[in-house]
Amino acid sequence: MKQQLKIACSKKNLGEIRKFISDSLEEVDLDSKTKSALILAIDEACANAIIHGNNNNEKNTLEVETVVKNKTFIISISDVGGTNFSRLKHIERHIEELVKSKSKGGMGLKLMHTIMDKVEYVDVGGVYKCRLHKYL
Amino acid sequence: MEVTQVIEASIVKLEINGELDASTTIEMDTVLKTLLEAGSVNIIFDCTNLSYISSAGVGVFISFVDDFKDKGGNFGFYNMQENVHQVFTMLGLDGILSIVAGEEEAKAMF
Repeated sequence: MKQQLKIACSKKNLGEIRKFISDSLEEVDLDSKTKSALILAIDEACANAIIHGNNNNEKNTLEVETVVKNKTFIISISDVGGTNFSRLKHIERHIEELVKSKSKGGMGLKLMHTIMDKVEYVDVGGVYKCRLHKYL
Repeated sequence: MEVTQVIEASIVKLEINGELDASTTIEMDTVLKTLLEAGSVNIIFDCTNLSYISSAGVGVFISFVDDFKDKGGNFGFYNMQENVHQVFTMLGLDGILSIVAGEEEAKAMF
C-alpha cells in the first residue's frame, strides 16, 4: 500500500518524517536492525533535501512516499519548490580525512549508499525526486 | 534533545537525552565549544538515553575530537543503544572514537 506524507521543508520536521517511515515499515518483513538503518538513510536524504535543496525554507514542501513493489521497499522524496539536491555528489571520503578536516558533513550520502540497494535521482516535470530502494 | 552536565573531578559527563539529528546538533555544538574554551577536555558521553543519531549528530563529535585531543583530552562514549552504535560502526568510527561498554571503563580512559 502506498503511503504519503506532505510536510514543510524544516529540519524541525525530521522527527515526524522518521515516525512516518517507522509506521510505514510496520508491515514490511525486515528485521529491526535493517528497519533502523532504513529510517536513518531516509532521514539523511530528507535532511539533504531540506538543508541543501531548500535552504530550510518552510514555505516549500517535501513529499515522502513509501510503497512495496516487486519485493522492493521504495521511498520517493520529492523536492517541491526547491533546487535539485541531486547535484550533491557521492564523494567517498575516508573518515580519517573528515576528522582531520574537522568536517561536520560528508557522511550522509555515504550512509545512504551503504544502507540502500539503489539510490536514484530523477527530474519529473521540474520536480526533483530522490528514490531509495531496498530489496526485500 | 537535552544535555545534562555532571562534573566529577577532571571529567565532565554529558548525559544525552533524546534524538541528535540535523535539527538538534546546534545544542551539542554549543556545549562542546563552551567546554573546550573553558579547558574542560576530558569528556565522557552517557548515551543510555540517546535514542537516535544521524550523520549530522556524529559530525559534531568528529569535528571537535581533535581539538579536545590537542588540549590533552579525549571523548569516551558508553552505554550506546544498538541502533546508535550501528551508525558509528557503519561510518567506520569504531577505531577513531572510544566507544566502551560502561561508565567506569569510560572514566578509566583519563
